[in-house]
Amino acid sequence: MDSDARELAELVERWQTGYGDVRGLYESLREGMHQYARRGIQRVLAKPPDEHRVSDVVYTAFLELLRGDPAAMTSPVGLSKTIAYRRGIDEGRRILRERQRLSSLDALDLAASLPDRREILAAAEEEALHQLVARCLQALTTDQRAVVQATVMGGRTLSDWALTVGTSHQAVSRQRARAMEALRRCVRRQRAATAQPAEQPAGTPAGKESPRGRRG
Amino acid sequence: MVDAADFDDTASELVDGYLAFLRGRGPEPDLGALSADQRRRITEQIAIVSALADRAPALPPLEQDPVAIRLGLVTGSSLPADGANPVEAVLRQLELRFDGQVALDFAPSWQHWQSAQMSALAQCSALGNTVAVFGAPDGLPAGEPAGVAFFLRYYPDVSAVCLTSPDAQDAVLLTAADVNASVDPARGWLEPGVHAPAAPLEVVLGRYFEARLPRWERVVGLGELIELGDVSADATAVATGTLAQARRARPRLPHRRAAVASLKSLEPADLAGLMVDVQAGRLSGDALLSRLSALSEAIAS
Repeated sequence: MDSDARELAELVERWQTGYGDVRGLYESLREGMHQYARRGIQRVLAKPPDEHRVSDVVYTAFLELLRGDPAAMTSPVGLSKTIAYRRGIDEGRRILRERQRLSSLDALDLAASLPDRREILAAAEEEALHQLVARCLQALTTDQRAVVQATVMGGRTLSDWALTVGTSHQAVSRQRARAMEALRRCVRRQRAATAQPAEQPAGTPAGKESPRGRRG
Repeated sequence: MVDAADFDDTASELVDGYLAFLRGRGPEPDLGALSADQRRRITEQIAIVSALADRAPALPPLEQDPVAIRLGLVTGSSLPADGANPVEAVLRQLELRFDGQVALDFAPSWQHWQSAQMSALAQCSALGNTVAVFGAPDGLPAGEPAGVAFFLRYYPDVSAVCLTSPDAQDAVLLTAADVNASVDPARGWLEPGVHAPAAPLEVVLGRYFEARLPRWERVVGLGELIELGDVSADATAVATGTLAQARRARPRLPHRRAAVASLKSLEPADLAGLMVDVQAGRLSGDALLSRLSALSEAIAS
């Protein structure tokens, strides 16, 4: 486990045992919660959401997380993202209802339905993956990082980005494909490097994509 | 099977397809045409895409994060210190959020209105929308609390009633439409108040005013427009064309017919002059509003 993940795990554990500080918890969870809140709203509306709406969803979801019993939570990181996602879907449905003047679309009621454990664990795993990817992003070239930030993290299309940087759609598309492949290899290397000391200290058979350090 | 030489293009298309899927704009992409190795690589890339997607825009520092401020996690936030009234603190926060467009009145004209379920707290107003905020000391009622419909009939200037718990964590907002029985195409007659889900007070009021206050967006290319130089001829052409189009309309509703008829007395030159003055920077803000108002009154009389 790397230092960021360890720090987050400690913080969550302190909070689960009643010694945590809410500010620190929110600071650690806020980025993932905003991401999933945006995703939930977009899933319904199929367009980028207004950031005020996203803030409303994160605020409501975080209060909902605090109302739960920390000790009984499988993964507060995953749960916070799952709640934000569901509340985002609620918000999207509410916006549709307001827009279409419909009364027959009810909000999803998270309190009434048990959170899906697999969904929560998948969200937690994705947050852990993000910590690795965030470090790997720094290893990309400036152009590769820019295209990933614009078209994957932001909502811009490849065509739009190609116009912005003054090149062809195909060139930008291939540049992003190479960036994604570089990220994939970097994540594999980091995972292998983290797993190596804990699982197999020496003599691990290296596959085609083993980290260079292990080959040496 | 996908040729290795085209794999970059295929991978990029699949990433685009997956992004569209995440954003509700398409189905999940099918990886069936790929070889096992390519599928493994794309699956790993898609996991990375999922971890990265929708992380933008970047969040502000915690001290400026609107959610942290609302949660009272930031030093100097306007949320209640121990002992302060949480409802009042939330209303103050709302005032700040809308840059003072939402006016608060803690002694409204209807403050004497009390019932077992509702105690008057404050009034929030913005651009003709007035919300009466009541405390619900015994918790929020399940449906329409007795008296809201009567209150709204008695005070027609009030657009909605908001009932909040003392800690401002649960609130519902009811408009006149919400406090009357309604017909749903799927479920038939619905009882009053059943479609008003509870949420924190700030969220409920924030949503209400967010949907009603106009949002002024930056005009793309305004800078270039201002630097165009003399636009009198273009402004006259645009004003003439737009007026001619509006005058050709044949509405059936009497008030619309009256509006179209009044356009006959409007001269394109007046509109063009207005545009030129705005473009040249001689007219803006209140002066622009006054000029528009005078123009409207002149053609309506």
